[in-house]
Amino acid sequence: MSLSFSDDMLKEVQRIVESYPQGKQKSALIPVLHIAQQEFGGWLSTETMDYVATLLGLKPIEVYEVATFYSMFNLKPVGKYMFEICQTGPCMLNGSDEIVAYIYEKLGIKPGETTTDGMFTLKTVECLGACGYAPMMQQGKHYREHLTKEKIDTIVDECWGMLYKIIKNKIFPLGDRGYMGRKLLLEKLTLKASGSMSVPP
Amino acid sequence: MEFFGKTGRSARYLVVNADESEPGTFKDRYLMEFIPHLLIEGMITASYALGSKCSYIYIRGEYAWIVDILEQAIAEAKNNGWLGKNILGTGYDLEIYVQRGAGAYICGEETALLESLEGKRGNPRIKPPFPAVRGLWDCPTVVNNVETIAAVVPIINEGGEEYAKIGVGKSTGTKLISACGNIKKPGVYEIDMTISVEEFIYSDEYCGGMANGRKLKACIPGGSSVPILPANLLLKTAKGETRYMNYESLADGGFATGSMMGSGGFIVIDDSQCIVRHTYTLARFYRHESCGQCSPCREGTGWMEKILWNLETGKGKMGDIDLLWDIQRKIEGNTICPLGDAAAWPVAAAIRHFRDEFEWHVTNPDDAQRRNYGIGHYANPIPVPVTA
Amino acid sequence: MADEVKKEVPARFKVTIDNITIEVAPGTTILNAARQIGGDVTPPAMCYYSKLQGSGGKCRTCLVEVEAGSAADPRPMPKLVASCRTAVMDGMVLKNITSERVLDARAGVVEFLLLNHPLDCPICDQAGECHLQDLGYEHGKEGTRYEFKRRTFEKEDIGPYIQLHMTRCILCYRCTYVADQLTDNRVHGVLERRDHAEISTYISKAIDSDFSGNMIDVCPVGALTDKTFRFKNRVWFTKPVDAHRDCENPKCCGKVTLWQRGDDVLRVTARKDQWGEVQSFDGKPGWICNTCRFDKKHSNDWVVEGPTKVSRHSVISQGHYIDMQMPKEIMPEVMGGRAPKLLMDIQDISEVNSVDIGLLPGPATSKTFEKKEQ
Repeated sequence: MSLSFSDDMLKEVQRIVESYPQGKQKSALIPVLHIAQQEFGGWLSTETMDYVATLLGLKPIEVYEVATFYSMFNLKPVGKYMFEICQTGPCMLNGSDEIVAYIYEKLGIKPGETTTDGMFTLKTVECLGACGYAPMMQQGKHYREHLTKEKIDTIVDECWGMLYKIIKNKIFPLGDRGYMGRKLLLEKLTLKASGSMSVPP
Repeated sequence: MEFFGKTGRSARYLVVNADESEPGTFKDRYLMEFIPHLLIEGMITASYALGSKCSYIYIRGEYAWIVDILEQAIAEAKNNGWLGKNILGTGYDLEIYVQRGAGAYICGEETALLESLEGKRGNPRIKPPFPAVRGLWDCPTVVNNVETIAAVVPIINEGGEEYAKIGVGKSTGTKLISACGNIKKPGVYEIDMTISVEEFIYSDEYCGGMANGRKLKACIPGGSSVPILPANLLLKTAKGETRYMNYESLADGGFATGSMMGSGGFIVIDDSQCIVRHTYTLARFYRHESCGQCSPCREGTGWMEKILWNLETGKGKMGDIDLLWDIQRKIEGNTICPLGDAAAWPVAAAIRHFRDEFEWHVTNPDDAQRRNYGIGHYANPIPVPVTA
Repeated sequence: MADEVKKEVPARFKVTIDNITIEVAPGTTILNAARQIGGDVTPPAMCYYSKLQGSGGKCRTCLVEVEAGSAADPRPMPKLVASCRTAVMDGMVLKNITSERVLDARAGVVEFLLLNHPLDCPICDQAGECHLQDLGYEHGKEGTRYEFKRRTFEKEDIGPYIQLHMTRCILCYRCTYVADQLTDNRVHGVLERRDHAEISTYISKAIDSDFSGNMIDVCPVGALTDKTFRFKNRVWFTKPVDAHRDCENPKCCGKVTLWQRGDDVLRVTARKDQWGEVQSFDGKPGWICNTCRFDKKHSNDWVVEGPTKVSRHSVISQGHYIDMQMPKEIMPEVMGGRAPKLLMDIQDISEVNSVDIGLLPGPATSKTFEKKEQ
């Protein structure tokens, strides 16, 4: 099996398993799937799920059953940043439809689609429990609330900024402060930031 | 964890239901995000009373950052000796763990929650046996909401009788209301259940009135699954009495002219909104969240959504309204868990009180695409029935 | 549940269902109590299977009204209860077919179950022994009010023995219990949720284990059918006979029903009782292994015991009246003295029996029975 968690992650899995009585490690399935999704590209491939099954000593089908049941597990590849817009009652009252329309206008993606550069995925979800702060969406671990068109603009820019940082850190692993970092900075200054992804200035 | 085996008795568990997903409800989030120690303290007290040595908080998966907050609070409690082994020298051990769900409204149902906590699909169990007899890993389990467990703290501190002096009638104590929708100040409010609905919506202390100078059209007073009420039935009961924000008064008139306190999710709808569209979004929600285990809910929720979509987009027929009524009637009460009822009630209440608006959508399909029905007669005072 | 009610309660519980009183053992479910009475009083059950632990409660066809909860607490229950998963109490009074509420709710459930059902009975191998057909016939209403496209699924191949038609599935979960309780490795399960829930292996894996064939027997509809019998014949054209063999597999009971056409064994199934469930022998459910079911398709593999008594299930019993004689003397009377011609053996005339249908790779067509030049 080619996939495997890092040692830190394995420790985390161990910690989770230990929070249940002995022999009840199946309970750890949902938390471990969360970790796996985060570690292996934001979605659960069959390979990932099989790995989780071996890790917890479960039948693969038990993992598939659970992974397909819960809406937070993505079974298909998603973009780097996922906008999960709530569209249930209270958010609808406060204009979630316009936000979805604006994202289509701005990024050209409809619910369920990903931008061609693999950067953004738009998903409409049901109530996220932030009705008083509507319209809202989930982006990564956090909620983005009281959405307006301007706020969407800011969030999109922020995502680009974050990606830019990640790419920069990959090229200059020690950052600007280290000697190697400065050296690399000088050496690679002329390099394009990335092969496949376009980075705005 | 071996001590369960050593004592030779079957373990008991306290599980806190923090899978808050009812549209309109976000009070537990407030409690956990800003005063997590209230919940932890309540859990310690309740676990001690139950004799549970291991308690779980099942939190909805989307509240990912709140998991960190709770885990930090648990660590703080442990550092102070309020959790862990031999708490405050009493010899009582307790561990609290936070379990994250992964996006399923149905896991708010207690047996589905336990299934999910066991690492399975969130399919509600068939009751009996109830969780108190056979719950988590077949052991006796108490499942309670965050707000309930948090309320343990003031009840213990002040004494039950003292706490019960707050409020009125059977609605004693305080209640968290999460207000949202078209109001000026959405948010979580703690009320003592003596104020009127009118005061709650219009006073600056609470919701601050309708947003954008609009008029009140309707309101769902207890989370999306309870019946919606038009403005005239919301502020006054069918008998013409003032309606108060408490269990009895909100339920006055039964489902015919009343509603329920439910989860305290107070959704206010103004006159620029379309009830058909709103009902459609709720039907879509319940379809999306149905676990698909029992046939009335699995098939019925999808059917209702499709019919409501037709009505909303101007493709509906007059017969569809009666058909919707019949479908919801056949779902209600015939399912394994209350999700079937929760899916049926909003549709039933919308048809009961807003039938004209549904009919208008059928008779004026083009108009319905361009504008909303408006406030109609829903705010007109209702004639007080003359009783002998 | 039997342990909870042990001491202070009587040894037998008195239950009244539709005004018929019966005494049953404590811990019996309402459905099983009704089955002891039998007849129309018995609620239909699509998902409950007495031989599979944990089954039941899902389809909601067996709902009954509780008029009095028990002798100790005679209050009625507000909701209809699932009779397959509710244990009886002493002095319980129940209404099944005498309750308008139950009949109405049941008609609703039938409508829901048929909502997305493809109604492809004419090409379905289960037709004739399908519980959903019976249910629709007995408890359903004419026509449907559903005007939308019916749900479809991607087709999945689950191996050489079992054919999966997900569109026909009613999600009774019985097959998952079979896989859990009879086989050592479950590779299929219920995926997705809401009305997208489906039986699948997720990765199109072959379901392959000694007892997997029993899923076909427990499936109440045509979702799981025998691939080796696919399109070979209609069940009502075949003749069921009881047979047995000494099976090497210790868990296999070896007592089966052979579905024959002429001398050909077209299909082998476990023996079913009057509720459509696998019969028990010596207190043990008579599950059969895949070797008996799929590989022993010759009459000389088996010791035939005699014709199967088909008691309940609709069209299969047509033409198989045991111990009945054609009333020959009446026919000329009815037909004005003319001798009836209709008693010809259609199978003989068409020479259907000259072809070993069991060996045909696909469905039989008219070409199969063409008279060959001599």
